[in-house]
Amino acid sequence: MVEILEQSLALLFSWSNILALTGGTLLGLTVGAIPGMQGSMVVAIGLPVTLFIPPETGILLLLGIYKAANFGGSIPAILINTPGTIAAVATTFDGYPLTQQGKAGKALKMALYSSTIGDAFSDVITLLVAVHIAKLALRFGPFEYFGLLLFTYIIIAAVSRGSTVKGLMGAALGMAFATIGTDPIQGYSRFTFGYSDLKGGISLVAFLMGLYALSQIIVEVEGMIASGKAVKATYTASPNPDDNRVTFEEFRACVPTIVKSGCIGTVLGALPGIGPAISSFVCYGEAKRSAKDPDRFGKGALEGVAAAEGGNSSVCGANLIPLLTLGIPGDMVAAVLLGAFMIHGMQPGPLLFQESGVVVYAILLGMILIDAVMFIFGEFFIKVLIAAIGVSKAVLYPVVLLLCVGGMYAYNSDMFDVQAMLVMGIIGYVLRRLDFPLAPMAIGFVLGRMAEEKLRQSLILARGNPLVFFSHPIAVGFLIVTIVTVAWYIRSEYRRGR
Amino acid sequence: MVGHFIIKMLNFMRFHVNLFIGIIFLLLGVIIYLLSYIEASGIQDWSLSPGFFPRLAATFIVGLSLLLILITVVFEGKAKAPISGQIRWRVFWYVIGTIAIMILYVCLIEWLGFIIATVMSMAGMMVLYGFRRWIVIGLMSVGLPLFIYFFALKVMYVLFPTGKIFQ
Repeated sequence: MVEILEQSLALLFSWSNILALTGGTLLGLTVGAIPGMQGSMVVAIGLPVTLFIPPETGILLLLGIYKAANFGGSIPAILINTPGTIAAVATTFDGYPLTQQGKAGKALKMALYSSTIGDAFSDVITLLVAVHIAKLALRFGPFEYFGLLLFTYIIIAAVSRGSTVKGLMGAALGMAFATIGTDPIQGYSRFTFGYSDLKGGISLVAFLMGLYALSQIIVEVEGMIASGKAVKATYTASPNPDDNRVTFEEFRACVPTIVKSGCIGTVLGALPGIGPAISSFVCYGEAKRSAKDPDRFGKGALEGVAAAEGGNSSVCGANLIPLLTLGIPGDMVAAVLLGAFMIHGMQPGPLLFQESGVVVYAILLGMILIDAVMFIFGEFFIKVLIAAIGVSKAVLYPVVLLLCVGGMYAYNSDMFDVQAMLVMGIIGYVLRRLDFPLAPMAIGFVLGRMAEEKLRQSLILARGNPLVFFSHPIAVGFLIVTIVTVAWYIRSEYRRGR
Repeated sequence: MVGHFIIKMLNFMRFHVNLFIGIIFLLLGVIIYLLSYIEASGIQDWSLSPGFFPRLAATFIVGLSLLLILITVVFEGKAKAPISGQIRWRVFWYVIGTIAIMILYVCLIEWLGFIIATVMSMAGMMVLYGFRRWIVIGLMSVGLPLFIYFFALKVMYVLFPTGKIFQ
């Protein structure tokens, strides 16, 4: 084992590998910071490049893009309340309020620290216990997935600001939006009204970009005109230096949250199909639930940023566990990486570590190096982008609109997505004006399709008998946690009422 | 005249927002429920019909809307605090103007192409918001779309629409 690690380190520290992972990281940071442009898309585009370079170099390039884009998405989420990637939606909850308080530097640095630590934690776990986690992940069938999704829905109550009833209404509306398009089990069209573009449903990116980014532009324009400060600078940093950095005490206070989010994200990341967005919501909800003063969340709590970013980043490393150990790609990026392995004659699965151990360990060690590179360049990016949002609001919002439209079109090369984003933007603006929480609606949409699929698959396996759900220990475990969470929430609401 | 009426209505709604949301969502839930029988029909088997999940969502929406209306009428009836500041005539038209530019922009992309539509929309928005530094307007509204266009084309192999009228 030690010999293999030595050979892997020697393989990793070649100029070509360092250059590839650094280039990938820089590209990922840039792409992630542009709203709508998903890291997964650039990873897919980068696949043909790996044909012409050694496997470890190509895969490190792709992993650099993927991991850095995940952090890059938090930058616009914090600075302009516009998540750069889907995974950064939960980061807006506390990141943007911090920017409004003149503490963008603090929020961004906490996002960088928690992303780096969460990601590195997940990488180390992947390196050490990948096989064991993969075995646990294999025990997840539709029943267990549905239990997990049910629990995540309940988390909605925890993350929704203000009224729980309105939060759950938003989640139900998100679920209803998710049913537009082709039925996942029987293949019938639903709510398409004869319009063929709707058969594929509303794109997740279009839904979230419209709901968050476009509606935010309109809200900001409204505020800018009302205050008469249209051509003034958008952001003024607090003069207190402590507001633009994370103090040691603040960091120490956030460490338990980051570690907990890292653990949750690593386990969720090992489950095929559970992406960073779900992980960030679950981690945010858990951080809020376990906080001494949960009312601070949503108003600029640093732990909120740490939980969301730690949660979504720790999925990245663990995402490789089912791929490397079982040959199962968990999401689009893992599928592209599977392709990258296969075009070099390597077959991910139980034998991969025996047949190509040196290359695989070089890649796993390289993932930790990517975190270090991301940390160094992330600091630089933060400085540049804070300066960028200091421009006039009258210039900034048209630029954000351009990036949203450009990013959305580039995502799928389809004008329908851009139109859907626009419609969701107007709906989002109306809901914001009615003080309606948008996060539960976003979660409802993100989980809706998967929840329906897993529920209906479970019922097929159970021949229509819902009681079979109780014969699956993991699913029952999730059910118990859900009931406990609901009880805790009712109790805390009752206490607050008193 | 119509604008003033809309603003009066919006300001009235600020004081009864939960009731308003409850009623709108109630109607929406009922519509989704009924539509699911027409727009989400299929075969009923062990996996339930394609209309099951939309109906489940609609039932939640209706139930929760009724709960919200009940809570608002019974418990919050007397506390009519507005949700935010009063909507003003000038601000209202800027919001409408911004939404109109966004709609026009999306429509124009297909006809005039990404670059021309973006240049027009960006410059239009900056001028609408009172920005008058023409060199900056020119540089930003022309330079940035060109950069995005060529970045997408060369790096991501994505060709933005070039405009139907030029084809």
